[in-house]
Amino acid sequence: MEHRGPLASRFLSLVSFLAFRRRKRSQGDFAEELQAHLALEADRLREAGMSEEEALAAARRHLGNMTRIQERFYEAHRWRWLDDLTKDVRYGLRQLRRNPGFTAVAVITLALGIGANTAMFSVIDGVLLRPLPYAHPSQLVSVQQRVGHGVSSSVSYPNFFDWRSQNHVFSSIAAYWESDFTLTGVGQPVYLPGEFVTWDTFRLLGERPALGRGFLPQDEQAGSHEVLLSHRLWQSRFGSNPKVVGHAIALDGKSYTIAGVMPAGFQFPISAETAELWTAIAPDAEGKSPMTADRGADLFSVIARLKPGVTMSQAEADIGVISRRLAKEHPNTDGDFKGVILQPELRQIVGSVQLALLILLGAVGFVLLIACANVASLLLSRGTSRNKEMAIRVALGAGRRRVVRQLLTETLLLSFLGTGLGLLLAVWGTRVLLRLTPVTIPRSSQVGVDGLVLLFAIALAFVTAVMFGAAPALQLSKPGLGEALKEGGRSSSDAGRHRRLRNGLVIGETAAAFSLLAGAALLIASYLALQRTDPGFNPHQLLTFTFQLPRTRYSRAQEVSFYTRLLARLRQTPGVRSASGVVPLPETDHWSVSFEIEGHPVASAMRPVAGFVMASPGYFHTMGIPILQGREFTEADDAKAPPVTAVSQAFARRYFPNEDPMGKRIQSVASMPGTSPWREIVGVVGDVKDRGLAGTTGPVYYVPYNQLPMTTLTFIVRAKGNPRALVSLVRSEMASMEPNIPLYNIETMEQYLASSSAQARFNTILLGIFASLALLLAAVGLYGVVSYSVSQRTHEIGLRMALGAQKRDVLRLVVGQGMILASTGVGIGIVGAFGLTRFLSTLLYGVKPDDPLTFVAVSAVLMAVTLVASYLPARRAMRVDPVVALRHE
Amino acid sequence: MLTRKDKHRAALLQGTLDMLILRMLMPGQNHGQGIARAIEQQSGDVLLIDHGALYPALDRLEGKGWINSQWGTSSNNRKARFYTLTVKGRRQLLKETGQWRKVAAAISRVLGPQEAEG
Repeated sequence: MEHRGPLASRFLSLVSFLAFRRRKRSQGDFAEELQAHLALEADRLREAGMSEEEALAAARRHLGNMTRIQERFYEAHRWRWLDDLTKDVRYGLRQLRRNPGFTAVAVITLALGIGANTAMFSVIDGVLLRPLPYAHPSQLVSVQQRVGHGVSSSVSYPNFFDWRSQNHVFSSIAAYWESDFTLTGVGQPVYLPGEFVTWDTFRLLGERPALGRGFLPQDEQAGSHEVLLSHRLWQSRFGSNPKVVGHAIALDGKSYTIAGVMPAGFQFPISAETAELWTAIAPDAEGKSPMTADRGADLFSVIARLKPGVTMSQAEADIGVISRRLAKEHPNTDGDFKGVILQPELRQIVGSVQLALLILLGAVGFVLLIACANVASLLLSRGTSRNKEMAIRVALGAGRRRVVRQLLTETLLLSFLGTGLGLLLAVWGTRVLLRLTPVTIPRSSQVGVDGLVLLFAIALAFVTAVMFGAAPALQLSKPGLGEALKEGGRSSSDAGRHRRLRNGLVIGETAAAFSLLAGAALLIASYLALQRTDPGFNPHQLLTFTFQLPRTRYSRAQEVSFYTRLLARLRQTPGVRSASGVVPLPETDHWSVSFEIEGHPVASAMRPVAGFVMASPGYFHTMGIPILQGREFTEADDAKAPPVTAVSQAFARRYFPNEDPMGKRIQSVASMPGTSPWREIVGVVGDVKDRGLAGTTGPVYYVPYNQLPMTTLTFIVRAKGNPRALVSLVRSEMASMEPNIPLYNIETMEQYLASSSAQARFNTILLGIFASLALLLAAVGLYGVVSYSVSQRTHEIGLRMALGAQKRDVLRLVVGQGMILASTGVGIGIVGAFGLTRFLSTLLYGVKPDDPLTFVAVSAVLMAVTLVASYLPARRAMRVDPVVALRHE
Repeated sequence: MLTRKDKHRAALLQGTLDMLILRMLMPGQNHGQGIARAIEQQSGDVLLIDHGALYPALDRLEGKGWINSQWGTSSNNRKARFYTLTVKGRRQLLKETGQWRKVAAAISRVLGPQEAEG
């Protein structure tokens, strides 16, 4: 027969076979036939002697109610396919019920595969695919600059101002800067996350306040104190009062007028910590040295809306021209400008997690492939025993088409049962996923099973049905079924083909499982390496917290003295070992400030840049950062004392490679050179992993906070016991000194570190789960193939034993078969994994993507599982009674 | 056209219409009205064909693949849909005829000789 062609062409012939059924007659064609009948019958009656009218009437009468006849025709055609389908489904369900073991294994296998995929897709959908909740979100872009040493995601206000007034490519462009506020006078004082925004930010997003007016251009001028509230804040603090607009509230001790309330659900920017209020950037301009006037202070994130028809590269070029001009005009601050980068705003928000999520989706796709291979293999082995059934059905008059359709119906039934159960798993699994999801994954709150996810699951049902059902259906339905009857249901050439196909499937499964296991093992190794990483300080028993003193009542000097008194009191508190303050706290933020070394003057754009930290007395001691040379900052290092600094080991090595840094002087030059003093290096301290545990350790220099009190401190308290127990003590100390000041960001250092490795943990756990699923399914597949082959070879095994083979030999025979299949799979898997784990390299830490130890360990695990999976059927084979087995034929 | 003759006409036994249609197509193609006419004539006007049931029956037989159809022109130049027997239909006819003969003979035997009917 010509049916031995490649699988693809056979599949096509199957499709055309099913699709091009008898051309259906139209309703009109049938009505025409009835009219023709009337004409013919009337002719006959006229010939028999009737008048024209009589003949027509008689013919009509004899035909009966024409509408009724046409209805019968319509009904017959309308229901025939449904009738067939119902029969197929009913028969299919009966078949599935008759083999509950087979059905359960197949449905559960598919449900695991489809459920895991659907859950993962719901995360991808919510995080990566769903458009931003603003008007025409595809026009929104984020604007960043390429500067000397990399990409700066933020821009200074003066530069932004020039972009805004000089560009030709944006219909609008807005800047925003995160800032937190303490709201007093409305219930308990509360610390609120907020944003400074340029006046037209909300217009750009296409959002209007639900109440009141938005910001106006004049709100960017000094003197304006307008604030917009989030809907949630309006509800919780202002009792949803519709007359709240125009009222004054106190933020950080200053009076602001409520300009409006944003609609419920509005969020900007999209981040883990949702802004509760927005103020225009005017308030900052009132300070002595406003950041918004400083061209070197890159503070603002920039979002813009492209004019219709303008491409990203056109916009990049346009802004590039402006920026190059600025670089020429302001070489001190903008000299290192290299260009601007535009990217879709959505990409900017989710870009950091995109790769990890796509890798996980790919991994979970492997799990589904393995599941399909398992079910295909199950169907094939069941198919062999159903050959006879099919042959009988064909002999009894069922067309081949009907048989194939029957088999496909069963396949689809399995796949839909699996999808149904899988969806339940997905709903549950998504909930579990969300609990595992770190806050660093943006938009994770939007994840859920929605229409698109359902559609995905249904599509998966069909795709999987084709993947696991096509081969068995083609095998079973091929012509020449009669031979199956003649040979007593055992066609030897068929059996051989089936065996090869099943072996191929199980080898593929093992290879896929190997790749997944290797990936998971690499991530686990990195995670462990991350946990073992020394952060450079002792993170245990540390409590951290922050608060803001009202600027109206506290000058900088008063603030410093308040901090000093508070720290002194904290140190006296029982249970406290030591206490200090710092900004920025390692792991949470990182500041870079350029500096100059005395005696090494360089052009301003070429100045070295290093991490910059302001620390209170006793900081190194409290954090457990080793002092390698010199001394700690003390209370004596105040505004009146000579300016000092301490540098990290990496700093000393890089900038003083062959000399002693002690006593050398450096000058930090943020953007206004000459204003900051020369500082003498009085200490060299150990390096700290300040940009996450997986980050690099760059050079850092420390300045006593008391000599440069610039911004709010974060306090750190080292406890003698559990740091959590100190929270209430700290609160009461604070309340006794200054009531009505809320503490915020109260957390232990260990919690901070955990959140810093949360993404790694998420990736590791998920890939671990997927790999375990893959391993389980591959083991089931191996077990199925080996035990099926044992049942087919009972006769042969009996014969061998009758001829003197020992149980040991049978064991070797059966287990050997499993091991050969698995080791072939592992071989292919190693090759595949070498290719695939490269995609993981950015997620790895402290381990290479082709780590040989990992590959060996994974191979060992797979072989051990194979041993168990093939030992079980082997034990059954060893119990074969040669007499029974031989008589069986 | 209800004549006295109609009283002697017999309604068709359930399921026999299909067989009769197939039989009428044995000699060659015919249209629906022709088939009905042929059955009536060949049964000596005893068997009455419900024209309203004929066309759905033809459609059903075509659906089973026993007959094919296409439009053509009748002997008196009228447009008509002509039916032909397929190989499958021929086989079906043989089967049904055989079965019918067996059943008919058996029923006759059970009913006994005609004289006894009295």
